[in-house]
Amino acid sequence: MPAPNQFQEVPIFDSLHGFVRITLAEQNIINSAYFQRLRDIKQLSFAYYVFPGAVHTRFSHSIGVLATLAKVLERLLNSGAVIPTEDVYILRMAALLHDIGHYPLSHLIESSYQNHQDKFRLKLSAEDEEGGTDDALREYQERFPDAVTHALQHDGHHERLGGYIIQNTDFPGGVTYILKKNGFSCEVIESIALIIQGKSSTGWHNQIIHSELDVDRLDYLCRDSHATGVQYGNFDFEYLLNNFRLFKDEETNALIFSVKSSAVFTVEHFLLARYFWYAQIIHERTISIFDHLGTTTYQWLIDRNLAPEYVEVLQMTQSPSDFIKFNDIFFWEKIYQGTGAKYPTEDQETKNFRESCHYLINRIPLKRVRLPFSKTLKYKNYGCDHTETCAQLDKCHKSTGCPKFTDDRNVRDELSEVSERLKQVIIRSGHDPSWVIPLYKHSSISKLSTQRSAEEKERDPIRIIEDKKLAFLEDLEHSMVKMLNDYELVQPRIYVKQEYLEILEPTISELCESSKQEKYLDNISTPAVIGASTEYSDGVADVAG
Amino acid sequence: MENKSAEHLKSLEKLVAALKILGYNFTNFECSKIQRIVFQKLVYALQRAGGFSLGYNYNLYINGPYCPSLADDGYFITRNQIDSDSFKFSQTGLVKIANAKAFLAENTLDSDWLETICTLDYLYTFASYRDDKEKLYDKFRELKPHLCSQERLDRALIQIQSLHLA
Repeated sequence: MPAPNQFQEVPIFDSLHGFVRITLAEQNIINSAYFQRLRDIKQLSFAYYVFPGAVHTRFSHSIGVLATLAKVLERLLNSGAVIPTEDVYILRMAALLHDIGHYPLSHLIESSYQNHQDKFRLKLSAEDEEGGTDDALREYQERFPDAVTHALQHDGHHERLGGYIIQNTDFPGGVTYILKKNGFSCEVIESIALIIQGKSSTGWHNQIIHSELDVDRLDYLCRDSHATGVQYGNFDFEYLLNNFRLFKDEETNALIFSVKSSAVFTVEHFLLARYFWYAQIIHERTISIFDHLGTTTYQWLIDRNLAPEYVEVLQMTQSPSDFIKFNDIFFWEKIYQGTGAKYPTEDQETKNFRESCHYLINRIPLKRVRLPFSKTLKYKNYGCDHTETCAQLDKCHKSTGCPKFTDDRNVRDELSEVSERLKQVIIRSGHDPSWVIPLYKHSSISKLSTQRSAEEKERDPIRIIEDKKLAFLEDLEHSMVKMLNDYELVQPRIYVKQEYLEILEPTISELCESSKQEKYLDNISTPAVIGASTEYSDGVADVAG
Repeated sequence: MENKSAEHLKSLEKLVAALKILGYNFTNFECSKIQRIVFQKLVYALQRAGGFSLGYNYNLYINGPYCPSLADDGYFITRNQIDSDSFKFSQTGLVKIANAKAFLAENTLDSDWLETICTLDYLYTFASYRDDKEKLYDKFRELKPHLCSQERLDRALIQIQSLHLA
C-alpha cells in the first residue's frame, strides 16, 4: 500500500509542464467529484468567443499550479533552503486546491453572487427595520443551519468557498475526508484553507501561493498565452525560476520568498506581461461585453430564485453528486432554458433576460459606441483614505502646472454623464434604456504600497535580494515598475443594441465634435499634454474571432 | 448618480440612519480624514458588536481596521446626499445599535479611542493575539506607536473581553 505522500507510478501529462508527478493523496483529491468538477469550468469565461483556443479549464490550470510549485520548491531546495517535508506536502495540496471553490465560468458568476449578497443580507436583516420580522432569517437557519452564518459574513469570493469546501466536507467523497484519510491533520487542513486565501500564519506560504509573484500567476500567464496563441503573457519563466530564493530574516528568523537581483528585469517583464495581458485580453472589448451579459443574466436568475443563492451553493457542497454539476454546463442549461421557459412575470426585465440569453447563445455582441474620450492613463490618486501622501502628491503635482495633473476630469464621471445622456435619447425615442451599457475597465502594474492593508504588505510585494539584504521591488531606484505604477490604464466603453446606433448617431457626433473643440482650445492655451490620448474609439467594428 | 442597486441604496440608508443615532454626520466627510476614520470605526463596531450584517470586510491599514468598499460608499453617501429619514429601526435594530454604543463605552466620536479599541479588537479577534496580553499590546504598540496610552489600552481590552464573553 503506497504511503499517501509517495509519488504514483503514472504521472499526469500537462500541455505546458510535461509530466507532472503526483502523490497518492493528490491523486485521491484529483479523482474526487470536487476536483473533477473543474474539468467543466473554463479558465477565461467568454474569451473563447474571441480566441477560439481559450477553452482550457480550471482543471488543467490547477494541475499546472501544482507543477509550477513543484519546480519552485525544487529550485529553492537546490539553492540550500531548508524546507520541512510536511511544508512541501501542505504547499503542494494548497496549490492543487487553490481554485477548488471556483464558480461556473470562473470570475463571471462569482461576480453575480457577490452582487447578490446585498439583497441576501437585506432579506435576512428584515427584523432591523420597523415592521420587519425575522421570518426570513429563521427560515434560512432552518433550511441551512450550517451555512447561514458563513453566507452572511462572506461575500461569495471563490477563495472563501474553496476554504469552506476544504474544511467542511468530512464525509465519504468530501475533500476534508480524503485529506484526513491521507494523513492530513485538522490543523494542517485548516492551514491549507488559510493558504489559499492568503491568510496563513507562515508568511512565505502565502507569498508562494497568493501574492504578486506566485505560482498561480506564473502558470496562468503562460497557460492563457499558450491557449489563446497571444504572446503578451510570455516571460522568461526558466530564468525567473532559477533566481527564486528563500531569504532568512536574521531578526525574526522568518523565511521570505524572494528573487535575486540578477532577475529584477525578468520580474519587471513578468509584471508588465501581466499588465498587458489584462489590458489587451481580459479587458478586450468583445469579451468584456459578453462577460457583463453573462454576469447580469445569471444574477437575474439568482435574484428570482431561479438559480441557487450563495447559501444554497454552500449547502450544495455537502453533496458531491450535486456539487459536481455546478459548472459551466449548469450555467448554459439555465441560459438555454431562458429562451423558452415561462416565468411568473413577463415584464420588460424578463424580456431583456430572454434577449440576453439569445445574444449569449448565438454570440451576438452589443455594439460599442464611439465616445468623445478613449482609453487613457490616469494618475492613481483616487481618494485613498489610509494615507495623506496621495493628497500631498496631488497638491505638489498641481503646483507644477503640468496639465496632465491639473486635468480634473474624472473618466468614470464622464462615462456616467455620457451614458445618461444617451439613455435619455433612447427613452425619448420610445426604446428601452437598459440596453445602453457603460463599462469601465481599469488595470495597472500592481497596487500602490499605500493601497495595501497590513496583511497585504506582509504578503504581496515582491522582494529582491541585493547585497544580502531584502528590498521591495517598488522601492528600488532603478525600478521602471516603480515609475509606471503611479498610473492605471482606464478603458471606458458604452455598448448598445445594433438598432440604437442610428438613433444615437447625431448625439454622439455632437458630443465628439464639442469635445474636439475643447481639446483644441486646451492645446492652444496650454503646453502639450504629456501622454494624453487624442484618439477616438473606432466605433462599431467587431473583433474577428 | 453612479449605478447602485436598489438593495445597496437601502443598505446605505440603513447605515446612515444607524450612524446618525451614534451621533455621526457626513458634513465634513470629504475634507476631514479624522471624520473618515471615525466613520470606518463606527461601522466596524456596528458589525462586530452590534451584529449588523452590512457586508464590509475589514483589514488592517495604517489607521486601523479599514474597508475600501466602505470608503467608496462613504463618498457616495456624501456626494449623493443619502439621507436616513426613510429608514426606521425596529426595537431589534435599536438594540443592535445600543450594543455597538456600549462596546464603544458610549464614546462614539473620539477618533483616537475608536482607532485604539477597533485595532485592538481586530488583533484580538482575527490576528491570533487573543491568548497573550503582552504580545497583543506589543503588536498594538508596533502598529500604533502614537496611541499607546496604557490606560486607554486597558479600558479597550475590558470592553473587548466583555464582548467576547457576551
